[in-house]
Amino acid sequence: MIPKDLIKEGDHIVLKRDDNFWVMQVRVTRFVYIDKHKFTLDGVIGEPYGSKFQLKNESICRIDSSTASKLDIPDCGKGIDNRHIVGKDSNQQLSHEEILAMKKDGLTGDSIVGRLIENSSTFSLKTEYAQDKYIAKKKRKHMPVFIILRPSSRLLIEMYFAKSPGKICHLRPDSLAQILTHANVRAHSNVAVVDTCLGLVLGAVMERLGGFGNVIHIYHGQTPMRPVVDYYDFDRNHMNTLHSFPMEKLNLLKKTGNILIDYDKNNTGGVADDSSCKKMAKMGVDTSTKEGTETTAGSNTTTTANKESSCESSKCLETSEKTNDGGITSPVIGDGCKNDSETLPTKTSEPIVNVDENMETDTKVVVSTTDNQPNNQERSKDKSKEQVNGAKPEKKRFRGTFEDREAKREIELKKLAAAQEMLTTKKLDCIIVASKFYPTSLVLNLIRYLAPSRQLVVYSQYKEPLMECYAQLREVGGLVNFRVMESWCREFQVLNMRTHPLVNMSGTGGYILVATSVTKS
Amino acid sequence: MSFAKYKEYIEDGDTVILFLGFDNTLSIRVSKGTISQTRYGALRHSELIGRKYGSQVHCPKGWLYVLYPTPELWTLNVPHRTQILYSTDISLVTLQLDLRPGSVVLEAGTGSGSLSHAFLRTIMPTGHLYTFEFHEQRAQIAQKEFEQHGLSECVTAVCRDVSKDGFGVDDEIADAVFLDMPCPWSAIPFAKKALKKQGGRICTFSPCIEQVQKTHEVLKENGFEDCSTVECLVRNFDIRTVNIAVPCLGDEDVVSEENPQATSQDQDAHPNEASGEPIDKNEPETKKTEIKKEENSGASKFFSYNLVGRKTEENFQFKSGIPPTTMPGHTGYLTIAALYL
Repeated sequence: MIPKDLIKEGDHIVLKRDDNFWVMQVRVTRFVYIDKHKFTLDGVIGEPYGSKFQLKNESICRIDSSTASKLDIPDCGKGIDNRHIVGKDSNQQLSHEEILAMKKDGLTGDSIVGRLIENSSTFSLKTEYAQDKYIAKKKRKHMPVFIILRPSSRLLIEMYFAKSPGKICHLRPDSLAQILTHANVRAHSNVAVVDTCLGLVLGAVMERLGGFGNVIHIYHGQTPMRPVVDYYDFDRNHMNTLHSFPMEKLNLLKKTGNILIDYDKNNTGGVADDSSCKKMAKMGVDTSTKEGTETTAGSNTTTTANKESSCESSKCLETSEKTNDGGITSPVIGDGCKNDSETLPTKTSEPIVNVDENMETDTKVVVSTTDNQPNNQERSKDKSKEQVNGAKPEKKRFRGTFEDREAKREIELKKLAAAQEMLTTKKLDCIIVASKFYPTSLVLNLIRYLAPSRQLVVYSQYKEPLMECYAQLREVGGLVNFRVMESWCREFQVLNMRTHPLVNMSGTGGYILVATSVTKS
Repeated sequence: MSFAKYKEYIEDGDTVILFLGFDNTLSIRVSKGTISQTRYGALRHSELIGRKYGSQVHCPKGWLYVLYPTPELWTLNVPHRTQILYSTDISLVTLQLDLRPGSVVLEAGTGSGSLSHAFLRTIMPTGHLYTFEFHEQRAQIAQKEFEQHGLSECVTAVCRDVSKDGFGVDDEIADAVFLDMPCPWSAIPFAKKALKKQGGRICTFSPCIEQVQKTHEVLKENGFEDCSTVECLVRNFDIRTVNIAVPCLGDEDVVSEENPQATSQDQDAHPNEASGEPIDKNEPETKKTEIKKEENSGASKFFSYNLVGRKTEENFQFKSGIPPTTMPGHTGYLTIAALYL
């Protein structure tokens, strides 16, 4: 028997109610809001993934699936057709207020549904099928059952496609499936991904790489935007396979073959602040507040410890810090940042210390490229310090010390160098472009780094850019086996004697261009 | 030994795909001293060994590219011993079953191994595929193929009738079960035993809706949840530059009775010269008509540009993605369900 996979605090989870999904992070005592319900997730901690929960007075508790939703429906006869049914408000004799009152009295969902049926004057006239439908509808409303699952590409794309397709370039689940297959994403390969779909494609690629191989996120703008990647809770090793490469440096790379020189220049020229901000934000944390907290963490650990004790528990502070993160990364979670004010006062010390930090940063980078031993030592020292103060070691992720940031920065630079190496030595096994941008210039720039006999996949919400891209790629050569395609997917209702396609279906899930690279003759 | 991992150079014993032209590929197993016949003439295998994947190879009557065998190319070239699943359905199955490196998958039946190769691509190197086939010879061929392709470490191919005898694996070891057999429902109780209960997933492929209906019934009886059935197709577009004639509505400036010729149309085909676009031989049947006007016959004059296409006096030229005239309209229904605690 394999040990059960249990939900821990800090995990990202998918809360599933029928076909609705919510992603959230489990945080003790923090309220989450779903539709009209407000509750804490405390009840899920320690329970296995894949189990069912119901709401009970602002909390969520596990239910046994064998006893769940056993509803005794009184046999009250059924109609043959709907000739006697007239739609009017008085069909349901219970008023809205009465139903609310029942809920307030703590009546379970089952009994409310039972009462609704008893008090429906038309229920007994409905056909068997209509009765089923009625019960299902009322159950959904009055006794919602939540299933908690680990986030997966499938759940995340289904959630985003249903809730905010505009944010993910209308990438439909079946289109994502085609992209991943035709790109031949597999373990031990080097994949370059252009993703302006919140990191959905990137996350899916990382899931398929399973921590083997490398992925280079070619990002647009100052910082990579990939909140979805955080939801997977990839472990540290897995995250280490993710590299970032700025899109705006692609032309420089094409021209000079080395963008790192540019980075060094930046560092000595006092622009380090900017690039360190980048590194920060890469970790998905709001830069300004983060630096504030960090300064305190580094220079004055005791003060922070005092603050912690002022909270109910040390976990509570962690919550407050994470909310900063939540502000940017989780439009889905969207719950209040109740502890946010906690971190604000520390901000005051920020400007002065920051200058020092930057100066140190400059010198350190030069030194540490050759030897990062001292950094590591300092880090472990600091770790023990924090542990004395009763904080969890994982916390380092959110509030690393200056040395931590240094090390992180150095790692990022090394990773950037590795990414550059992968590109310039033509080691890419796959290029995926799934973005809102005009794809042709990106693709033309990137295909030079693709090894021969490897896959190129370009996704666009529109067909025309892909048509143009196709024409240009034909012109430059080096690619064969082109396909421009569109996926089409239709769901069915399957019930005895009532099987048919669903009444509504998605009209478009975007378009995909696929090609295979060859050596140019 | 070429399927397990991307590689740079072709070695003796590799399976490679010869790309002869659009929609024209061929799979061969490279073995020293062998010669394969292609439509471009004989191809000596010894010439392939040591070459890079993706390179161009010259044959007496033309040249071809030699490609790395992705599961998608393999699917198009696998020797058919049964009906197979194609990449469109395979893609959706892989996503719906939450497959990734490390997944443990049960598949019945193996068939021609098209789907098995795609599964293995996704779950390697840490996952495992147990694949079952009741036809003894097919099971043997598949087993041999996996060995030749360097996949045998991650796959167990067994000849077994799953619908009668079950999977013969430990309880609750599988992350996913895939059933492509005439009566998938008969294997569902066994699938339930073998699947992990914390969200283990099952998918069945059936061409007929009656099979789907029965499958749904049995899935629900066995406590599976989130049962859904989908159908997935892809539409390929043929990208071309198209010319269509501008109709003649008579001379705008002249009173109609004075110029009766203006309505007559010459039915000469007008070749596409305007762009360097490769023109397909099977250009659609749209007749390109040229309207000859008495006054300014001669060079065509562009007088209108817009974003969709280009209009001359005679033609409207545009780039279009043309859907195929016939395409697969049905492959099968995918029925997906999950087990929860």
